[in-house]
Amino acid sequence: MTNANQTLGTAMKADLPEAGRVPDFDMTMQVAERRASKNRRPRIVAAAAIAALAAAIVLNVSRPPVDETTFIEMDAFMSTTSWSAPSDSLLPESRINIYEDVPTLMESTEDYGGALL
Amino acid sequence: MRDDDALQNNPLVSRSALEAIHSQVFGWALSRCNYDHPTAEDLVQQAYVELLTGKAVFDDKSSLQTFVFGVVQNLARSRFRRITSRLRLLQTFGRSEEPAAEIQVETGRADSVWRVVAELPDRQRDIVELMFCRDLTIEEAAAVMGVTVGTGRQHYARAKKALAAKLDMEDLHD
Repeated sequence: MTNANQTLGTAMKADLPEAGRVPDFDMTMQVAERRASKNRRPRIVAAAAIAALAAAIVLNVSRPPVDETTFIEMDAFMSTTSWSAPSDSLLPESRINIYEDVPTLMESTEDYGGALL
Repeated sequence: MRDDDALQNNPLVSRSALEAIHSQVFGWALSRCNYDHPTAEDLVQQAYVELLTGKAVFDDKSSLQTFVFGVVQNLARSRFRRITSRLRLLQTFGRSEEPAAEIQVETGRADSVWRVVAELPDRQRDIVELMFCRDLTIEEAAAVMGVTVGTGRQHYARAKKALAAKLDMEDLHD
């Protein structure tokens, strides 16, 4: 380091901005410790909440399934050739009779690899 | 190092070692927040919180001073980013009648060499402070600033050139 560098360094150190204003170390550490323990508390609460949620999910999954409600009346279903989507009011009304309304299938007489398309 | 001296989540950091560099850390924090005393105190406390909670773990790859300076630097940067984005939000949502608060640079005495240093661009000012005042090497200073050593050298060379001209010290850039 040159003399000028040393001079500059000395001049800067002689007039340190923190001179006489440095807060006490022990006091600063005490405040930091308080803040650190405050930081930990929400994490502990969050971890407990997550654990409780996980336990609730596990208990719910492991519970035996309740008999599911079915919306299809098997007797009515077997005694008719007509069927409509059950209880789905959002779908448009659509009824087909499989004996009368045979769907038109696209057919071709062209074969492809030995099979009709 | 006494057994009870080491921080629980930072076994390589002792309270006595921290105490030894405390005034330097506070000085660095002061210059990170434009020499605002309460903000600097808050920055140092937050840096110690990071060490106490183990968010910042010292691995002995650098000196403790370099490491803690880096923690302070990062905290100051993220705080500055938050403040800037809040100011931007305030300006966006109609409170722009009041002019945006400009950060006033308040350094030491008017005749001080610090006044001249404060006039340098940020990076140059930082490297001058770290090397001349905090006695870090150029590698350590670059690590604290989060730049490569090459970039650090460039800032250092430019800073010395500018200071030599302003302070009339010809051999400063030798």
